[in-house]
Amino acid sequence: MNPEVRHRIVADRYRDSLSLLALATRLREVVGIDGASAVMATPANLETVVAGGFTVPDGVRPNDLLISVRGTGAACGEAMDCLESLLAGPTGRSASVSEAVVPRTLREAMLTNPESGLALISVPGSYAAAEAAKALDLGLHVMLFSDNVSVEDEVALKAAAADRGLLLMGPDCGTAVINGVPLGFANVVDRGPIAVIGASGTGMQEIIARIHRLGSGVSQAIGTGGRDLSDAVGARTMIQALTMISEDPSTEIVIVVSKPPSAAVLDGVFSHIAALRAHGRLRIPVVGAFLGIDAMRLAGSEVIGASSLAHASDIAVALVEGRSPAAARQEPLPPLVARPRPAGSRCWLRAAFCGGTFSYEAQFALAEHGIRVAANAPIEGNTTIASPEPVGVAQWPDSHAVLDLGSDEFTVGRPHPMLDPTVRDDFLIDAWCDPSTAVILFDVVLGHGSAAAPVGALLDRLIAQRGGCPSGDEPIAIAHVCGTELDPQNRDAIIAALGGAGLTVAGSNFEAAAWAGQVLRQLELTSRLKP
Amino acid sequence: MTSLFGSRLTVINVGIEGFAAAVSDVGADVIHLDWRPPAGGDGTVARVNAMLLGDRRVDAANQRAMAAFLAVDPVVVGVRKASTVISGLGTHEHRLLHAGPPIAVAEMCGPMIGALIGAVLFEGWAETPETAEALLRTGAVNVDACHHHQAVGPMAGVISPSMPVWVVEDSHSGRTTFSNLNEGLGKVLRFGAHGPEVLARLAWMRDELGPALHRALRALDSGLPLTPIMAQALHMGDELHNRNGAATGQLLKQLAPALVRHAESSDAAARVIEFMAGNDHFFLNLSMAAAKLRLDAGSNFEGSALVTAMARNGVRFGIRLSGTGDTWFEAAARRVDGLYFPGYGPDDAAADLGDSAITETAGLGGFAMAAAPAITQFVGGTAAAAVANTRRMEAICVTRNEVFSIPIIDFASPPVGIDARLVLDSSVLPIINTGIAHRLAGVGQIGAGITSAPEMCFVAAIAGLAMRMGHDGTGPIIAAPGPVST
Repeated sequence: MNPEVRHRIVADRYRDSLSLLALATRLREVVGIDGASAVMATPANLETVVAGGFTVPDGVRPNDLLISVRGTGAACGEAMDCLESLLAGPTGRSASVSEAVVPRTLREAMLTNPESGLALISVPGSYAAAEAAKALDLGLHVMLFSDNVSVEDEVALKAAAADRGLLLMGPDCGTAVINGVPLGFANVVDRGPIAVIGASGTGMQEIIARIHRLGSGVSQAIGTGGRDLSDAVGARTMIQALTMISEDPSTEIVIVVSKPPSAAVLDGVFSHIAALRAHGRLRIPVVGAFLGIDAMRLAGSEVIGASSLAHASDIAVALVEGRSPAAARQEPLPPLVARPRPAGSRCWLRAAFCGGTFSYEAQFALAEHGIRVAANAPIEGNTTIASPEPVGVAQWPDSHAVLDLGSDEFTVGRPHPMLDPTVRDDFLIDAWCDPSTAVILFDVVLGHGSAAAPVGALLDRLIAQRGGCPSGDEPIAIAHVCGTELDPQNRDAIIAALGGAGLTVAGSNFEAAAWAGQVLRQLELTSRLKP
Repeated sequence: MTSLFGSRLTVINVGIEGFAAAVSDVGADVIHLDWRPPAGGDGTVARVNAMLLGDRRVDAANQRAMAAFLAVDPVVVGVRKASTVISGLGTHEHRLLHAGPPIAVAEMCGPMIGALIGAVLFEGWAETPETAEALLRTGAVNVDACHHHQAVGPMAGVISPSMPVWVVEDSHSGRTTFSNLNEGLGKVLRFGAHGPEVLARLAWMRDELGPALHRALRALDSGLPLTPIMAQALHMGDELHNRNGAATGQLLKQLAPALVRHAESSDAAARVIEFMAGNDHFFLNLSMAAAKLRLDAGSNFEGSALVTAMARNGVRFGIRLSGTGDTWFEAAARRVDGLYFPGYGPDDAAADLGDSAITETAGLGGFAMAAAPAITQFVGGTAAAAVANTRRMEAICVTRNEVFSIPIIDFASPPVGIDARLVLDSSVLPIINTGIAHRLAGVGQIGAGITSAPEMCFVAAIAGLAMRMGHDGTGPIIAAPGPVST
């Protein structure tokens, strides 16, 4: 079948050549059209029409608009119908010339928002140091959430930041609150007079959430990154942060927190504090929570020693309220009552933590009760869980065990348990089903960035295991919920759900571990007394 | 530097998007970047580029190069026979110039071979296209890049010794650049056509158009300054690469009285004026020569990452940096995304071709697209898309050209001065408005559209600059203490 050709002449209608090219292109998109042309009918343009394989209709004049289509009869009809709306064109009423351009680089963002003060960087580690370097060169303070940054880069970045009068938090800095703004994994807390500087993400979360719950508030929470108090890095960020905090008018107390630090570096921090004091630059109390550091080490350091993360908050709030730090001495633990006691064959502790600092603090608390454990991140005196076989699959060793599920062997190829607690749930259910489990211990970390429903799946699986009704022979399960009622997950609701399922909820990580230690100690004594 | 505490915090979020929501939830300002791994995901180049970005010597060299670029005052002072003004193009040297980075005759695309054949015939070095081609393929006729001779030419960009060329001079330094005269559309040499009518037109341009323009320009006291015409054209809907109608009109308006007054006859004057009036791209070659003049002034500043040339030979796309001397950094030339004239489609198209991307290199064309929203119709775009393109180019430019302004963006000045470091850092590629040539010699222009410079050119250029500046990727990621000064 021969194709049909149709023309349309619009007399004395001017259109520019570009819009006519666009129009012809639209006509060619009609199914069944194999050629289309739209031109002002000048002699030169008519040559191109002929070159395109069309004949020129008679009577067409140079100021006329000539449209020609070739294709099946139906297609030509459809194209001519389309033509009417194409010729009418857009109304222009919805037109806007201010299409937003989303910046791709820090520099581009600074062009349009020169008042920006801080870059929050969480790109993959191999690019993270470079982004931090660019941010510092643009005069931005940096929170470097990313991990897998080399020690060499960390030291270079921190030296450059100090040189420019900028703060570099991180790398591997999970938490910060600056001027009331939560950065990374941060809890929603009231603002107040207490600053926290920490080389420990969850440690800082524990402290700031408790400050909030005690009715006070947080001025700044500055993360230094987990490696800051190592010999290689030399507490560069902590020292700089202490200087900055000493000049912050909104801070009345400062808490310094760290996982087990290098002794030499800790001395360096103490001498910096002493120097600031000697020059009259630091006039506020400093509370120190250094996990694994004997309180005696702090004597004469002008740092008030806290015996746990929670205790650091208690001391700081007491000081804010004009009470002596001694008033915040830890209360004796309330006894665990009205809970079924584990039966005789149950003897082991199974503890699974999302927060690395919680795993450390629990081991120290247990050690105070004489309980030594196997752990994948052991403190001095504890044994290392033989890996990799028992680790990585939900299977517990035949001993007391404490697992840090946020450490690398558990997070390769899957999300951190704070984001997705499935791996923690697997271990806890396995422990629940094991007749040798006496005590289960775990943390629930709330706040921005953490799982939206951190215990829902766990409790569903627990209830399914029980078969609907709690039996008399169960392990004791003790949980600790790090967060506030203002967090997106709402701590009150999480505690109610855990309590409703028959779990014991402690007021702090330290209390939860101490309770576990108490129970295990009693079990040991009981078994020894039995013939 | 801002004091961190006590002020209202504005956060730039790079990476996990959820963190931005936490910041805005408490009422703080946050900008979430549309970040992507720099250098196309090549971690080593990305790191080296970050080191160059932190190298103050590069910033200082860029500032000096841009200052030299902006100080240029391009004035068209005459139209002369190429052999008398362009070095290396003496009548007995048997050399022809072409667009883009240098390329061997054996590798050339159809339109470029066709244009060179036409030039050999035009010079009378051969009688037939076949013998002309043989002269080229045996090397009896030399070829070289226009850029190596202070010259630029659109599409095939062929310049031969007896062709008339625009002479554009910097009124301050006296330095000059050159470009050929635009032949119009249809069957023309720059698309590879070399039939009798093409050669006849070239002869007329040599014998009547060139001398007429030259006499008119000489009659103006000190030539015709180009910047005022270009600034005005940007206010009238041109972007001075693919849309030159307003600038051509302005040029004609300025030259017409002198053209008439100094014409050999009124018929001759009418032929010249008719020819200019019938070609909306007549100004393009002047826009290109002016751009080349500015960029040459910005060349050879040791350490500078300023892009001083982007050019295509129909096979490869090449760029040069101010801080890497005369080296070309090349990648395969791309296809152009655009609209095709009736009867043609993408399969008929040659790859990106011509020196005209010198206009983008100098902050015109795609970089000034907000001035010419009509151009975006080539790719089905809107006026907002034209504005967005100009805004997008700010990400990769050193500064703004305050000589020019664009009404639709509240008379802001268009971005200018491509920094190769910023291209790799942002993955924003320089946008180029351009014509589309048929892949066969002599068919002519078959469409127009938009393309961008290939990222690989910039990867190679940054590697070259990094080597000269002593960055091998092993040093510290940031200079400490403090920036290095020179």
